[in-house]
Amino acid sequence: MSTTEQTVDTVTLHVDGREITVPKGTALVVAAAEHAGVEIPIFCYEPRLGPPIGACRMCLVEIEGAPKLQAACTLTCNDGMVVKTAETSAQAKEAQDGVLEFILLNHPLDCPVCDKGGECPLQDLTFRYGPGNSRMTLPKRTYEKPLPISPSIVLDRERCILCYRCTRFSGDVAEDAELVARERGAQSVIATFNEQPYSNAFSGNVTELCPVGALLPTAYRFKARPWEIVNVPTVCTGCATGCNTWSTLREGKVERILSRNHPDVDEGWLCDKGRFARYEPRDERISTPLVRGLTGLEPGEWDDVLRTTAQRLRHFSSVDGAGGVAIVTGGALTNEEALAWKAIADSLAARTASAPIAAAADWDRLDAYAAPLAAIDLADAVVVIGDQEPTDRAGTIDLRIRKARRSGARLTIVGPGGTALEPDAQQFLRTLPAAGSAMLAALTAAVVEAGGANVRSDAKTAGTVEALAADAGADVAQVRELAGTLVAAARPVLVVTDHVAATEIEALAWALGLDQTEGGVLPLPVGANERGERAVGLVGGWDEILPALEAGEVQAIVLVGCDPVVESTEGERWQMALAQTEVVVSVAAFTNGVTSQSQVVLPLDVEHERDGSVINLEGRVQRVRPSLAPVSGVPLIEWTSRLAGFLEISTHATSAKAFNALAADNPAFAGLAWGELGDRAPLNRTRPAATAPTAGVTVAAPASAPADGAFRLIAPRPLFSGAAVERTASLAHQRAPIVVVAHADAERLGIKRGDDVAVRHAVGEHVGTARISRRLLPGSVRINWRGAAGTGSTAVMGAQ
Amino acid sequence: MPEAPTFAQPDASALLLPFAGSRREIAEYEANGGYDSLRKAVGMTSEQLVDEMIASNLRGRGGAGFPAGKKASFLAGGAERYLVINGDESEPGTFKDREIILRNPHMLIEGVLIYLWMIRGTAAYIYIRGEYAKEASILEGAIAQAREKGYLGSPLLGTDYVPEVYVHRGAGAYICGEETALLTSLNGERGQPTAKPPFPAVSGAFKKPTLLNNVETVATVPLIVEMGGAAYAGVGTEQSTGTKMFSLSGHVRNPGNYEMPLSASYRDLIEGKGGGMPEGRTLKGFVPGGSSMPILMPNQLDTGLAFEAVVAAGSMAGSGGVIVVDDRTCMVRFALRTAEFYMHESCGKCTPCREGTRWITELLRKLEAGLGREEEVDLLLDICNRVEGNCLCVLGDACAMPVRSHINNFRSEFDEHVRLGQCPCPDDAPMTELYPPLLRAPLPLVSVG
Repeated sequence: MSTTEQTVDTVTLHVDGREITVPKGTALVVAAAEHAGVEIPIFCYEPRLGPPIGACRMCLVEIEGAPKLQAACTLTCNDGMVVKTAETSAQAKEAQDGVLEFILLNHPLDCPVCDKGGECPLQDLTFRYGPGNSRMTLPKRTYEKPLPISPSIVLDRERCILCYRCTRFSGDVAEDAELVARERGAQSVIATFNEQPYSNAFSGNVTELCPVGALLPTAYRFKARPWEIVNVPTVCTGCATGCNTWSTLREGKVERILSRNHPDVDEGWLCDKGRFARYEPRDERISTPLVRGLTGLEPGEWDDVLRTTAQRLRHFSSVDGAGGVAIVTGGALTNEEALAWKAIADSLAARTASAPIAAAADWDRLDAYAAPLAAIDLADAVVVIGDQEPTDRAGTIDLRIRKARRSGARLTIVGPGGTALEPDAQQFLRTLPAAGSAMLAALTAAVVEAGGANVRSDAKTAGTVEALAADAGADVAQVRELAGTLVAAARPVLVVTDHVAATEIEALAWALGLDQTEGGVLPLPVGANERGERAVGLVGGWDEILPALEAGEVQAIVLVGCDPVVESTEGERWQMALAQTEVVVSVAAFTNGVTSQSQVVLPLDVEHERDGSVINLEGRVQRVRPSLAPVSGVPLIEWTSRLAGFLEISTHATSAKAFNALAADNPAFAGLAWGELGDRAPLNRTRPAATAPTAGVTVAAPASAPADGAFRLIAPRPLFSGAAVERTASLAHQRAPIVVVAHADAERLGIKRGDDVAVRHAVGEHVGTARISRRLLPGSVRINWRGAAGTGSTAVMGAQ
Repeated sequence: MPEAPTFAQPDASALLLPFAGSRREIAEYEANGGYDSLRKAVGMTSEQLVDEMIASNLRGRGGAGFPAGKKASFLAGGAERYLVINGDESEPGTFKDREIILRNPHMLIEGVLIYLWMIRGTAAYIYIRGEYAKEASILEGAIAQAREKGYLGSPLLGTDYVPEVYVHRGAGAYICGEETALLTSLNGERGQPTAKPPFPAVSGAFKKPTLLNNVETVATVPLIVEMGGAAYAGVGTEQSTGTKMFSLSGHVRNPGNYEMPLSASYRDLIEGKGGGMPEGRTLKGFVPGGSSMPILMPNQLDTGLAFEAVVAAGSMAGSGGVIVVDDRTCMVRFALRTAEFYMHESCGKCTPCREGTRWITELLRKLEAGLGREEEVDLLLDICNRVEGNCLCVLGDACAMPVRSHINNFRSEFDEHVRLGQCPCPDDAPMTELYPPLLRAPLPLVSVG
């Protein structure tokens, strides 16, 4: 995708006698630093938090003609401006000294015991600009400390310099308004609203925004000093966003995750899952090959286990012919590991599956309309379609969508309701659960009906707007309103959060001519490296494997880094099917739903242990780097190669070799080189030309109405789920069970906000705290079940 | 409701409140020509009205003295625009807006309606100080009467424009008298100033273009429409036209609100209207425009009330709150009392004000208690310098300016506190109840945990 060249107006100004020319609208602090080479010190200025507020006053400068000193952060450069910073202006220097003196008046200066020490902006600026001693002879302000504001973050109010970065993040970026300033004047303190724990999914970002040691991650307190750590640049594989991170390594342990700002991917934000979730304790990990013996799973020798496994797999591949073996993955492998498993699958003529539904593979056809994450920033309309919240599949995308809305994009949420983005959206279009397919078809019909300069009238429609809207359970006038928005928008972005088949998305994208715009389609995959696994050839869906298992066609299955018993909506069927399968081999980090049914269990390498590359939801190839050795001592790619050897084929035993092989003949990796996978990976992809969709549009019907008294269940897999999250104590509050009840149902059943409510569904019982939603479709209930309990299936709800 | 206090008979020069007692009933107000200016204004175009405002050279009565006509002309266009009236009168020594609301609420409402018509505003919000409970209810009552008479809430006097006026009560923060803080408070956020730009004229109430004016400024508009801008400009001085309300308080025989032409002097106000010093006392100084302004000395009593005259004398006319200080007053106490107020009211957003007002106050407490050190008087001056002009809004300046002027004008008193190790003032000096002479330690500052 090419961005149109725009002529940028520039202004010319003088900073400390240096003439600089900068684009119009550049903030003076930025211009000074980047163009004049003059650092203007700052504390509160952080452009990612929205407009500057000019609170800390550290950046005061003299502007010729202005009666008073001005905060450089709130000034944009004007033509002919003459600026004197503290470097050349005695008045500005005096003011800056004054501000730093004021900031330090009540600051405890406990750097020797402060975790921020050594990487603290206040410490650095004090060292460079600060006074040698203090004229403050009175007692300093003291507060109770440390104060936990959530299980993951502690607050030290004495160290706080009240720059309001944290409250601005909470109020203006995450838009939760949970962090607030209380009291006023010198007694102002940062607090959580109503003393509730800070529960936002992105709360950890405030620990990085804080320019002092006031907000610290609880897990990192008193853990390390900057000179005894190594920060390893890597990429988070908690979901498919691929946020760039640093992993802070100290004495063989990952102690902290920091953002490594990639503006096009994460903008320097991380979700709390990516930041705090750990695959710990390590001694509970599966660290050796295990074989089922008389007493259950027993440790075995690597070569013995791998040889036996190879023999068993080979046996069933030859006995049952093609497809007797299935290799099932779920996005947990690196591209290089996946390539090795692809070779093994080929040698066994095995079925493969890398995503919960096979239709996901069709999504690659949407590449002609693909929108990168950054397209959301430029969008004039953002439409989120699906039952699931975008953040559940791609954590930080939530922040980007909110930012787009604040910048003027029209946000529409399409789904059954009860999600976090709806309240601030310009339009909320309510549908039945699991109605994404019908809804997209209805929108396509409405777009074609509306027509317009860019609308392709040859787009296939599956019926009339009225009929399809009725199928989706949507108001037809609202569907037409949204179609109007989409037709009128120059750069619309469609975020699809459910695994609906690509045909409907493709039909809409074609009708709208999205391939011709800077907008596009952004479908959110389930697995972190689902795209990568698919790109190397592990295609197919779990939904294809399951019937084959049940029919006995597949007699040997290898589950690599996935647990369909928990992660699929058909967990119960999987459990039964696996129980009757001859050979179940699983590769897992911890014992889980499938290891208990496996004859062989092999250790899975998790993040911080893997060296390789992954492909994020945009198609961006990024490098993950190891901080730690795998718990087993043998990297997965290496033992996979040994397994391949026993199958008498050869796979690459190192990621570098595997990657070079991919780069040589796989279009997704074309032009890339292992040694050049940069720290901030570019999006190495061009849109293929769009062609008129050929497949007929078939509309999947939404779930039928449940029996009397039962509810339609909406239970997509939440962001805060998975083996690492469940083992991280400080994230317990993030996965506290909730039940979102429609207002009308709550009235009828006498359920109040905060009540304990039980929801019985096909896989189990979910007892959670009630939240009441006026937007959630009455007759349905939304839960944050740890697995994917399914959407559109039936549930029964009752007060606990 | 208890009747408002009785007020002194105004003299012939009064324009705003040219009568004794109050006119809260709309019938009484209309009988005296009320709402005639509105009728006249509705026959005029927006441009004509702005021109009249500019011709009157009316300067804002809230404190800064910015020309009101010019301000109105800055208002950005747009379908949605608001008028906000600043009635958050909280500056110590200032209580003039209260007088206008108590005695002549309809004049304010008429001014609001003329302003609204002039800008075709979506609605007007009168942001009134939270403590002004009675005044708010009087205003609400007057608005209800005006609504009943069809002046608002329905098409205005045969036009298709429907004006709407709301009263919004503050919650007790001095900072909300600062225009951007008032607007953030009105918008439902924590009342704190914001950086300008964006100016309210572009993004104010509900992020829409907003014109913000003081109660007295708005209440003067019917007069200007009635008299004509040029005639109004004939009163007062060339740069400071018209009459203005002055709140006279402190050590003076007849404290109260007085309306004075801006051509008069502080001597006219303090000695003329105020009856001079109480028996047996002499003038030590007077604060000309609310507690945040530098103090003027007895030899400056002939300073004119006009904005430019006060600036020439080294202070500012501010909001017109005149505080008279007699010879018994301990200037350290006076500085401390002033600083304490601003420390208490600092919003906490910007560093110099938040930390500086507290440090200044603590040092003054030490000094007043006799625990100060010699160098701390100069330190105080230095802190004042580091606060003034470096803050996000002028609240920090409002603390630094009076403290510095008290030290500079009465330095020997400050040094005397250090030398004696106690306050030298007699027990019957003002504010003794606040700062008892036996105090030997700074008052503990409350920390919030």
